[in-house]
Amino acid sequence: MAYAAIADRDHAHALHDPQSFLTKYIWSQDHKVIAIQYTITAIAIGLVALTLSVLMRLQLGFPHSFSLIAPQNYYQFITLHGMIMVIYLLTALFLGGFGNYLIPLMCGARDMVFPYLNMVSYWVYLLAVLILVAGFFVPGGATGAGWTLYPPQAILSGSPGARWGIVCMLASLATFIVAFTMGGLNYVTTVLQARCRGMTMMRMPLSVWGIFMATVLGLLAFPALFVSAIMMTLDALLGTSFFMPAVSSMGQPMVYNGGSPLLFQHLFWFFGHPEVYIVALPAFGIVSDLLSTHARRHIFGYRMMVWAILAIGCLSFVVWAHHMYVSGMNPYFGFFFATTTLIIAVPTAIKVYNWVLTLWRGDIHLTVPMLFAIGFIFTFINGGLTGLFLGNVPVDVPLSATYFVVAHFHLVMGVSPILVVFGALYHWYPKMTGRMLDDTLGRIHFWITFVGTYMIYMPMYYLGILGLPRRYYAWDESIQFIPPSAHTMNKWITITALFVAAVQLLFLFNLVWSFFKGKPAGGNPWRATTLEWQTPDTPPRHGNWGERLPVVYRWAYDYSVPGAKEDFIPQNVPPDKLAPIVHTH
Amino acid sequence: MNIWVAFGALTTGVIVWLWLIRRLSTRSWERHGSSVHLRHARGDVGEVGVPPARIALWVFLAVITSLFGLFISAYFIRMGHGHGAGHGISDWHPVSKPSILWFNSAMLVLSSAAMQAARRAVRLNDRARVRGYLFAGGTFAVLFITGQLVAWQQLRDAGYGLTSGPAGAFFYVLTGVHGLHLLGGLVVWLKTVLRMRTRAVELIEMRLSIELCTVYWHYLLLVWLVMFVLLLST
Repeated sequence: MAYAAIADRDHAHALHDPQSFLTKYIWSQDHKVIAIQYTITAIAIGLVALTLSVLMRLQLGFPHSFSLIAPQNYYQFITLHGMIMVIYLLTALFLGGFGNYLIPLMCGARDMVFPYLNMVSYWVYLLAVLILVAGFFVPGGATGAGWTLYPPQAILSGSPGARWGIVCMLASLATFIVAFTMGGLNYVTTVLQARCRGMTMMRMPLSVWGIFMATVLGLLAFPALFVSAIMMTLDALLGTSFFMPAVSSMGQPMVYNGGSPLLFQHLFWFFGHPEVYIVALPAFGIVSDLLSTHARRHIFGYRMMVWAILAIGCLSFVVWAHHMYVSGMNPYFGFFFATTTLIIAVPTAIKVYNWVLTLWRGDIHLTVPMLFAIGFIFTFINGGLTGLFLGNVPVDVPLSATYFVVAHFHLVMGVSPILVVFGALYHWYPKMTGRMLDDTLGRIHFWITFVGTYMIYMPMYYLGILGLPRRYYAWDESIQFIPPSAHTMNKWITITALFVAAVQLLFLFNLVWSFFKGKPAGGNPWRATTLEWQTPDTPPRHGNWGERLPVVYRWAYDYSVPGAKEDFIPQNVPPDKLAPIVHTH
Repeated sequence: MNIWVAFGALTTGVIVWLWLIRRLSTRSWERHGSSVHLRHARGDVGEVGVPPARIALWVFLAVITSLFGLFISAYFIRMGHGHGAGHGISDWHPVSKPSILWFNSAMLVLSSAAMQAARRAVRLNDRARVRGYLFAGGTFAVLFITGQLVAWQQLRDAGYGLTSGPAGAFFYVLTGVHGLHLLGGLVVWLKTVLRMRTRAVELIEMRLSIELCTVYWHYLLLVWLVMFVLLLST
């Protein structure tokens, strides 16, 4: 009882509304403000990554036309583009942005359980982003080691930024991991501890499940990156030999001796593969909710969806070496990892079938969020199926250094989660701001992005099968096996990519314009069941729920229930408030 | 052979189809009832009665288990690697372990024991003892960290610097990371001690902080013992 009394008192204290602009919007401990801070920062650094990709495409489509882009710049762009997209944009946006916004609202909590820690998490994340950007300006520029940062080349003088760029990158990653751990502890604890009455784990919306499991994966996988970042920093700065073998540079033997580059690869991919699912699982969860809401139909196989999320999460820790088939490892290991990789396709396929079956006989509303959700199913299937090819050692070995892999991972973990991010922003923007995003601009944004995606990546599959090697700055005419048509196709890809990049600016414009001029949204514009749409105010005020917390009486997917007055029943509607439902016993 | 494969595929297909029909015809609105769990009906504090800080600590322990586990597996992989490790010529040369490590281990054990005693004293509501044991626990921990620094110095003087070889480098990294975690614990410990000194807080309000400190201390003792055995045996 004493605990309860203390908890109540602390809560009353925490609910004291912040007054000044500074505490309300800058040094805020409100999960919604922190979520928006995360989102804006992630989008800002994501724009840097987008610009880098445009520069790369210009070089690849029209080689030797841009004197600005020297080979070392190209490698810096490739490295920073990959790292920003995977970690600083997608991970931060899904977990820091949507996780922060949705977990307390969807679970019926007033805030995260540790609001102060949550605030610190954002500021440390911002610091990590700044250190990353600082890498561009140190002597020698940013690192050009590729986003995998493989030693020994990452800290040998042949790579751009081998002296300071790589140190900035590693320091930034370590900082990011600290920020993520603070945020992650919050998300996990909030989901486990702060759900409102009636919100059992098996009544949580799948968005929360996806974010929750992704956070657990992150908490357990990021330490691997942390360990490798520390040891590599020591190798780079103090001359230890954790990863560095005996090498000579410019004819001079270096101080290194006997280190294991392969050890780094194992550590990196022990983090790197779960990272794919850290990005994918929130997307899986969110897309399930988008499909269900806009098809006015309950999610098909809810329990199976939850188990699939858990299964994918567990399996993702035992497949890492499929990124290392070409590293010369023991073929028996290759066999083991190929098997586990293909097993992961089972729960993933279950999810895809369930999404499609959710649409079956649904009352499909082709709203902008729904378009993005359906677009996700397409790109995810196309990207995922080629993953089955690459999961097999004999297919991967010849394809691994080609554009086939580039097309595969961009579709499956680049484009697909990004489509969900867009869908989710169109879906929840009305709750965040009280205004709708413009519909026409949204449709233009969707179609150009979606069709453009196919026009960019399908040719890349073809180029990969031709054998076009990836990571090349330019393919000279002297490389005999590359036909002239490949060069034409590269021009085509570049021109499409420019269009797709430009239309993202339209989306940014929409975000800003609608904030001031958008159509007022009302509390529940999509007529959705989940708790975040049932708040007394839109956008929700500090503390989310006014006087009393909501009480949950049903799962999150009561759409089109026969006999009900409306085609949706919010989670917090008690049974006695319902119009009598005709039961067919 | 082929006929059996075909038969198996057909059976699987039929089972999946039957199951699918069954699932598609379920009425979700009937299965999901309307009962609300009324346990812990305390209004605002959420459904689960466990204090959030306790959950967070256990989650955090899982995180650092992953961290130390990965460091230790890196240790083993690096040990088996090196120049021609397969032919018995490795660059792994064990370092001499400073004997002060035994003293340090004893300090950490005492520290953990004192924290446990403080935790018990809270239960007995003995304010003076809580303060004494808590203070002792922190002091022993500080002695441990000082001892570790002395060990670093002795190791360096014996010619095993950070760049002397992988065994030396790992020694510094492992003990360093462990020490930093203990320092983090000491920050929380200091906050607890100050709160007890400066404010007239009820002992019951300190219970959770002291309990969590103790758990963390025991955990770091466990990590240290595992690492100590590892360092001594290799």
